[in-house]
Amino acid sequence: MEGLNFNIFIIISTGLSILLFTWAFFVKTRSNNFKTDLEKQFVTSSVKNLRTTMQISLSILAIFLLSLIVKNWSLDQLFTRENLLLLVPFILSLVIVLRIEPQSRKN
Amino acid sequence: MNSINNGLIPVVATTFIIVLFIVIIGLVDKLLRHEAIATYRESLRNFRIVRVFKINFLNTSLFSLALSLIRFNILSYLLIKTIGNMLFGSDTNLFNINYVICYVIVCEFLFFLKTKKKNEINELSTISLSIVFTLGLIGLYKLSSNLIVEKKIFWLDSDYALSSWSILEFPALVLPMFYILVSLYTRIIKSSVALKYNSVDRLFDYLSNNLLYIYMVCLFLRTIVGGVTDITLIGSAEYTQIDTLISIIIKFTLLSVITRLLIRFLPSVVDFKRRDLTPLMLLITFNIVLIHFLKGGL
Repeated sequence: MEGLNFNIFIIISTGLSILLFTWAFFVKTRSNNFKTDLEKQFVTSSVKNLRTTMQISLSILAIFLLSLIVKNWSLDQLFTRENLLLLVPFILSLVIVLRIEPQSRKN
Repeated sequence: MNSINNGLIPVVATTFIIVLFIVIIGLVDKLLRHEAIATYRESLRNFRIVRVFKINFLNTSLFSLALSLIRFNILSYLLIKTIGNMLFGSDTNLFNINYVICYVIVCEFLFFLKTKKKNEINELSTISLSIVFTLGLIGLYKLSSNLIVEKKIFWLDSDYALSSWSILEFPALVLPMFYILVSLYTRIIKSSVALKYNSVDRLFDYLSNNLLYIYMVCLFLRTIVGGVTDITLIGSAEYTQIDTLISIIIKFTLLSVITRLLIRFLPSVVDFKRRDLTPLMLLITFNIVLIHFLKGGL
């Protein structure tokens, strides 16, 4: 009974999430109301060392991710759905941290 | 047997169990909370399920929604896989310390990106550090990176029911364990209050906080509180899965009740923030060294 196939859950829940996100985007474009989406909202002015904290945690995360993924190092095994589940948020957060960085420095 | 292998029964059973666990968390919270009658009526009016129908996309920021959805996806996949394997499978890689830490840090980091208040950020960094620390301790106690390696307690015969409860041999681990559970439970309560803002991302935050709490309880349950096979009510070999199911539900409810009672009556016991942690560190080190010494491992 080893290797139960739970991949169907990734497909279903990712599909539903994309649907929900598109729906939200659609609703917002129709009313043309993007007040809550200003970039300034995501800058934490209360923490001075936000930049450093985020970079340190990202680098720790990178080590752990590598140790988990490199074990099965071949291209078809690298981009399985399970690994993508970890890689996509990692790259996304890298982009976000790099974008927020200059703004947090101003504060 | 065929339907187990093709994955239909595990899928239905694990989904059912996760929903049941979320209901149990809500019920335990509702029952053990101290409320006056007037506030109780007020809170019935603002009941969580009612709030779900009031959500509005215009209050939601797309950026936060994307982060919450990703976190929810990761956690739900992780939890379904873990519980499914606890019930039906035997994939030991899931309880590898690397695997667990990786998922937990990714989820915490996604939550971290959304936080704005200073105290939330402090709390977040404390929780994720203590999770890593506690998992490391369990690994050190078991002398393996696979956290579910079975170690029978040396001062109990292997016939006894409690012989696989590692926590009896390593009682110093109770404090960090309940610290983590209490903080995660408090986070659930806080995020259920935040549902009043009627935004979609808060709803998913609430759900994923529930999932993270359930995951940590299941992890502790599998690693140090005896696993899932020690309670046998029916005893017949054909119904082992039902036994497993019952023992998971009983242990989960017990741990949740204890956690909720701790939040209500003794919140200061598990509050590490303003304490000197040296005695605890010494106690834990002494505990580990003593156990390995008595077993003859040193």
